[in-house]
Amino acid sequence: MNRRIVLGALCAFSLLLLLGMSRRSAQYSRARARTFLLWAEAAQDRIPHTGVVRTAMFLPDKTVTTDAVFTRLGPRLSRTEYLSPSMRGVIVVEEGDHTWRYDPARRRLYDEGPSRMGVGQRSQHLNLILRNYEARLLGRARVAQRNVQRMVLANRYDGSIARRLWVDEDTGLVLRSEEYRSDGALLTRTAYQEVRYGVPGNIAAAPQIAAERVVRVQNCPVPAPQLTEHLGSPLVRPRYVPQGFEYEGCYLGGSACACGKPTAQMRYSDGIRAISVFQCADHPREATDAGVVIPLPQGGMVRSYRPNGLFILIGEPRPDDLRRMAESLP
Amino acid sequence: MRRVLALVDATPPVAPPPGMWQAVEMRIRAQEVRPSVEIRRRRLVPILATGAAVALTTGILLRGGDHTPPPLPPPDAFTFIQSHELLGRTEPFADRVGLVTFVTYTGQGAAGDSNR
Repeated sequence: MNRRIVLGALCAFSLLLLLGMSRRSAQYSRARARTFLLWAEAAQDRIPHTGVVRTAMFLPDKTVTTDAVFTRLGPRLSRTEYLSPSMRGVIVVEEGDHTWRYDPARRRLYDEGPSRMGVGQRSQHLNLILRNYEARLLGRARVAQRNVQRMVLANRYDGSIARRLWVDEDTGLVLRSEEYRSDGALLTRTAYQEVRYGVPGNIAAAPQIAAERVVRVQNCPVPAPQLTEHLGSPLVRPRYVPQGFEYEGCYLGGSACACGKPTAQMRYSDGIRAISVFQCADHPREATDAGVVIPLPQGGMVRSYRPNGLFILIGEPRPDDLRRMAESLP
Repeated sequence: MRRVLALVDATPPVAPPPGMWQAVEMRIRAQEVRPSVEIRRRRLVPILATGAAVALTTGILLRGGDHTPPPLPPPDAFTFIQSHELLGRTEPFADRVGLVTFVTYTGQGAAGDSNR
């Protein structure tokens, strides 16, 4: 009888020990993945390198593939030149607080503001990512003849995978990334075909840019009172926001609306996925598709007419969430 | 050997009795084992299933699954889509190279581009 009790106690103790070890191991691997993610994020902007990058965008009816040569010279200093026929001649230059995008088809030069958040904002955004997504390391692989760690960012609420990353073990540079929709479908894949580290010796001379117009794209948050004044109507925010999403700020959309009236853009994010709520005051009530979620490659879009004008919601959450958010507008 | 050959030459040709070949053929046919109806049915099922699967696969490939084209966003929505995407460029781990592909592609779909 005593022997049985001792054996039972031993078994229970062993089981508890195993359980504790596995929990400890899971905690350790989560902490390791988190540290690795933060290290990789810091590396993106500071590792000088050059390489050929291929992007595949998976649309419902076709796949769009582009090749580009990307060169990073240092923090906030990079150049991307697209080579594929559909985008030949498109050049993006990141220089300090400006990102210049030249579109030869329209002969326009766009000034799209800084390409990276400030240090404080970036730290907040990383915390938001880690609150809403669990980083997991999935083991080693090879990309562009380099050893990489495979990493996945899974949503903590619904378990869906939002991003897969292949991170260079030695430098922290993301050599391949995949972006997924909320329904699990792959949206884009971008991967280095080859990469060379260090400052390149010969950078191609700046091309002759013949832009007819320079367009400044507003991408800095504007205080709400200023936006209300510009809009001519109070800024209205939805009462419902999908789980994990937080209000980031509001922006001035210029005269983006087809009716010619100014629009405000309110942005919500869960760290990886985002929602934009556009408000256009006094927009004529003309659309017949109000309340219907129109699928877009990256998510969906829904329009809603309210006393304070037309609202257009665009974002990556599930269609039901987007519709519910539109319905919650006062 | 010469004697044997001489004997063969001396022997007149002998014709088989009339109807012998038909009788032999009938006996051979009578001994053939024909598969039963059940066996033939069993053989037919996988053939038909394979045929149906091939036809279905070909149909799906030719039609491309659901042939209903996805509804297009209204033309004036492209500027909003671009604006939404561009703000995402500053985020950590944003795929900046892929994002420009997306923005340029949606811009090509826009009808009229007076503002952007």
